[in-house]
Amino acid sequence: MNYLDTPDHTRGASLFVDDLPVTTDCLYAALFVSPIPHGRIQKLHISNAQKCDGVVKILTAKDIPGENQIGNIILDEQLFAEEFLYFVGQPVALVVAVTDKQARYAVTQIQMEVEKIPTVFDARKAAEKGQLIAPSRTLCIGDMDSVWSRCTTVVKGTVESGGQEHVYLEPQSVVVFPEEKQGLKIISSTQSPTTVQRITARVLGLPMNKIEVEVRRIGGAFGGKEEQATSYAVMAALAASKIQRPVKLILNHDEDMRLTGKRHPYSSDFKIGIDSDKKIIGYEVTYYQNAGAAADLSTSILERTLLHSTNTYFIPNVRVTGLSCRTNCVPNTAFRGFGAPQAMFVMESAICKIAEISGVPVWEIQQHNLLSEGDAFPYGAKAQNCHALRSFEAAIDQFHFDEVTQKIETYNSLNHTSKRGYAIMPICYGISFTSKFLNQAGALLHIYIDGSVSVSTGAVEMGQGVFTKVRKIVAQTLSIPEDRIIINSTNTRTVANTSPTAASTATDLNGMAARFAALAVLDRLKGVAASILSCEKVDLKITDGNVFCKGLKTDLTWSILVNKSYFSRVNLSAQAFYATPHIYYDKAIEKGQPFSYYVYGAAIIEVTLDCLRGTYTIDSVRIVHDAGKSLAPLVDQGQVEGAVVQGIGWMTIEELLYGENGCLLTDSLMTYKVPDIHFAPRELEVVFLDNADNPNAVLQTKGIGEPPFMYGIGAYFAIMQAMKAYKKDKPAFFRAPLTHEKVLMFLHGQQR
Amino acid sequence: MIRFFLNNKLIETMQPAGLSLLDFIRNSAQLKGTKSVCMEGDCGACTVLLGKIEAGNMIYQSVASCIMPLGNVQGKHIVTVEGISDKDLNPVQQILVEVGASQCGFCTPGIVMALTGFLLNSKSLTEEDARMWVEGNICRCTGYAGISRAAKKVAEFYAPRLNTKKNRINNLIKEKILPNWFADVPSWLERLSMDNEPNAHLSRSLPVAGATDLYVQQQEALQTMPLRFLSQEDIRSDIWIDGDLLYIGGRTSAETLRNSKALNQIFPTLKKSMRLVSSLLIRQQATVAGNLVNASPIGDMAIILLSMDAVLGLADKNKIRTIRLDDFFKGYKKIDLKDGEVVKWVRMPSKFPDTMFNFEKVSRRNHLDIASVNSACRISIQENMIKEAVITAGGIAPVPFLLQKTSHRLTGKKLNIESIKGAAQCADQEIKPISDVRGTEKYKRILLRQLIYAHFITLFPEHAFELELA
Ligand SMILES: Cc1cc2nc3c(=O)[nH]c(=O)nc-3n(C[C@H](O)[C@H](O)[C@H](O)COP(=O)(O)OP(=O)(O)OC[C@H]3O[C@@H](n4cnc5c(N)ncnc54)[C@H](O)[C@@H]3O)c2cc1C
Ligand code: FES
Ligand code: FES
Repeated sequence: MNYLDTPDHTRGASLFVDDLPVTTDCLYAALFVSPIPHGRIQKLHISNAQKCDGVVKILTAKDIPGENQIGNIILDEQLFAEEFLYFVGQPVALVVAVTDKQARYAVTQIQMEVEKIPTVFDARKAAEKGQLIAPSRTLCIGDMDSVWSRCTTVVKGTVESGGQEHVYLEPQSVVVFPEEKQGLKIISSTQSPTTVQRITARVLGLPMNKIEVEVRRIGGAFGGKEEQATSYAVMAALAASKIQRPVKLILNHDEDMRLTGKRHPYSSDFKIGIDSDKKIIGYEVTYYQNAGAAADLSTSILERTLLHSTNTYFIPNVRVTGLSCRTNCVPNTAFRGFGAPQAMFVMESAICKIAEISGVPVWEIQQHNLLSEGDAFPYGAKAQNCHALRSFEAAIDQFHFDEVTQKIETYNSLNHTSKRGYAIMPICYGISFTSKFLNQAGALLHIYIDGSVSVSTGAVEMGQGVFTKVRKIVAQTLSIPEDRIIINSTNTRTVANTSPTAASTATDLNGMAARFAALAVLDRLKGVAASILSCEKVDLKITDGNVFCKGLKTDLTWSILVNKSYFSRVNLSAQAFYATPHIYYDKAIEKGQPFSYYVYGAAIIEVTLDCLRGTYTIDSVRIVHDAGKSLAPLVDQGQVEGAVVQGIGWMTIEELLYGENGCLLTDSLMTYKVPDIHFAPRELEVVFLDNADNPNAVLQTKGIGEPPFMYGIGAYFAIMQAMKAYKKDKPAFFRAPLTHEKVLMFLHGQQR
Repeated sequence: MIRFFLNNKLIETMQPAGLSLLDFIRNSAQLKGTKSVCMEGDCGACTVLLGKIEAGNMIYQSVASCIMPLGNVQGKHIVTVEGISDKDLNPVQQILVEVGASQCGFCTPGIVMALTGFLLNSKSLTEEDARMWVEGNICRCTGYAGISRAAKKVAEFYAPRLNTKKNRINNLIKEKILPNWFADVPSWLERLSMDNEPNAHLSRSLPVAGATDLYVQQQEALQTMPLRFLSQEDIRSDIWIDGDLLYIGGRTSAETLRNSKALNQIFPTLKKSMRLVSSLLIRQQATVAGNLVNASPIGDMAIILLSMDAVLGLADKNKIRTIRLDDFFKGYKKIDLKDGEVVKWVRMPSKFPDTMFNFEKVSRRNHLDIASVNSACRISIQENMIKEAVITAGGIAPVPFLLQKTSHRLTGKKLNIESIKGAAQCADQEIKPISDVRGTEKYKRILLRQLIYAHFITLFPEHAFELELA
């Protein structure tokens, strides 16, 4: 029932990229980056740096043999800047030296003359100037012309949500070893080995088969290493290839915080209307996404925003428009939830606002509008196996919501300088990559003569427990003990053309591929057993390493069977493939069924506000979560717990601040505060929704990595409710993160 | 040459004394279990244990190895995760695995070491104590739920089994949490101390105490600078009373200050207030004197000691001179300290009759964070009149600031709403906050006003000032 890797983690024996042994000829690389947010390089002076102790080579755009292009969806990002600089932190040169310290010192000796160009940091301003990454997109359902006149209350508002730094503890890390015949072996902390392989091949002008990418494990990623591990891997590969020595590139943590993209800040305008039955009948939003200076995954992220605009509610008339705006910020990237949290924050803000105006409690509006079986999303797909209401009601029942509200009301009436607040946060999250082609995976399984099994898939282990789950799936499929199975490092040589480990799909895709591989070998083994035992294959069953025929135990064990199969010249290896069925999307009409299934759930969050000092405590979070039929409950519980606390951090204390020149001011853990043990809710309860088997994924499970992040959004509204308990007549505002400063200014800002 | 024990191995190294212990562990000793993340004491991934003999006892504390110079390790015992790990998991490791306290694993060795430090060193073994021992460890994966379960389980399981601090090490060996060789460490260290080289007394060299400030600011430069490691000098690290005066030794740690009985008698909420200063990991390492000399305008201990009429004893080779703490701060990061001088002690009256103290601090995150604004208040009341009041505040001036005018204004006034409001208004005139990452100027002004209110609301609940002030 436990994680496969954790015993070694506790012994300090799990190796990460920077822990791997390297040969003494290994060189170290450090980056010289743009100090300005927008400009033109006039002259780059590297000769002083070249003379520094230990420097072996300094690489710039000129040294690239292939294309100077690392864009994935849209080709708009150079590996090294050639002429124009678009953001602070954009790579310009790579210094390679004998030691890490020498490389870093030499970087400080590089000078660059630049001509500055006016900048835009704000998404709305960029949109005004027409600086879009791609044409805007609009999803529409129902009749938006007549709906507003049918509403009893209509409100408009603006919502801001800030960026978020991933703070994976292991920084971006890569080491590259040159191999024979121009080959390269890249060991990277990437979520996307194939992207690293493909882009390296492009930049170096090599065929992909010369490049091997391996990932053993990552020290946390959360989306931050889906796209953005690539450039560092490619740079190190370029250096290793040019110098023909191993090259290691590990960012410092503060460097990592400055150089890499974050969750996209959004600024949005909404309009919402309810009718006399408290039904939300009209909803309109324009999302301005701050993409930063290059596309990265922004367009996909915006697509997921649009697809999640109505969260878990059924709204018959909807029009949502998204603009991905090009600014002079660091290109923003994937982060757990991938655009959906931003959408849901707007939805919940709109509900909060209309509740404030109409006087109907928030939870009532929420409950009245939850999706039911067969309800259509704005993109036409219908909710199936819908657990929206069931999880909401389960949360209300199991966590005694009535008592909670009672208790809080009493508390607030008795306390003057301390107020409590609560919120319910329901979610509905679609599982599948919205780019259909990514929904595929391969697996390679070998059974060795001694009966031990090795499995390779395209899934990367980053703490989310995918190896644990794949091992369970194979163990259950073959019905042998888990300890007879190992899961190998993810390697582009064993499994090719992998999709990133992302979108909460890793187990669905890779687990299913592994299961198919296991079933294929199992079938061959059963053939052998059938001939040994002279019976039919259908009568055979393998349970706990023993072969049963018509329910009776035979003398045949797993090990003997495998051994006999080998001597009977039966193939004990299988490669298998899985592609998620029944998903499609037509962008021309913005309709389709982009998701294989949905994850539901609801959380109740309680907070206490210190109205004197403007500080808050998150007291408890109680969650009913739809995990399908959980394969590894401890792993799933851990995913929910970790995600919700990350979500709370995004809504509350995690604030990115920039200087006027676009430099990140909060570039260390000293200034960028993520939740610590005392900030995390003291009570965090996770209950899995019962009877939630999911026919659309492997062994009835559901993807779990991202959805619970969005429970954290409730923290904003719980705190806002407590603030309003203190300042009854002041209108709520929607500008996350809701820092202590914002709270105090709301409570005491005007009075002198 | 620097000599110390790393796990069960004697290390004799010619590496610079200014090199960080983490660098040594990972790159010289090639032990990769200890992780490097923030390099500034803010994450705990690099946590190791440091053992030394104090008053005949072997004492362990946890330290952030990223900001610990080798010079401070001279003659000590350093324990990394490899030192307590065997092929089979020890019971603490087992608990972490069982309750799901580890996901990606990058923070995990640090958590293991912090909890081991808890069992080795914490007098009381409650769940709350265990949580405090891991409060310096950031985990981005688990949301701390699993870590909290582990802390609870470790505390609940071991509290009855290790009920006294006596023989802790032997008991932990029996419990298979520590390897057998731990019993021999004191004798190893004793032998080591006999042929230790004395600290070179360079008058121009930079004093290094806990290094929690120095190593965050200028780690690279320090590797080549002449350093004077105060841990090797005859400077006290405890708190004592001599007649009417209370002394805090020049090497006293923040955690020792927090736990001082004598100080808590004067300032009964000190123990709780000091929980807001960094994390236990850092409090064990950081010194009070370092906080004063560092002269950061938001130094918590500076703000507290300013309110206590503290006087510094500054020693050079020949003599000790004294200076009031308030006079010691001369401007932004400017202090009255001459080359070759060190803070030998800090002293204050050992009794403040009929006096009350309060400390307030607000930061972005309630714990392990630097204040946006902090403030201390000392006040004595007689027949509802303010006999004397002293209010200090940080984050609102270039130095840890004694609000002289405000304090003056309060003294002799009636204890009522007008006086408090007047004080807050006066304070607003007296301060010069600037906008930075810890808050805008406007916020800091309002916050200080609220903290002044908070002093009075907290100290005089019977007056129910909150009804009019908040
Ligand atoms: C993660 C982290 C969190 C922190 N949180 C807080 C916090 O919440 N509140 C807070 O106030 N501070 C905080 N700090 C700052 C810092 O820890 C304190 O200022 C600490 O008290 C410094 O003490 P030290 O012994 O480590 O000083 P060092 O770094 O060793 O020295 C600091 C300066 O003082 C000088 N010095 C030290 N001792 C003496 C002496 N006896 N005589 C003469 N000069 C001396 C040194 O030369 C140096 O200039 C934090 C630091 C870290 C790393
Ligand atoms: S590396 Fe973060 S505390 Fe040492
Ligand atoms: S387990 Fe990943 S940071 Fe703690």
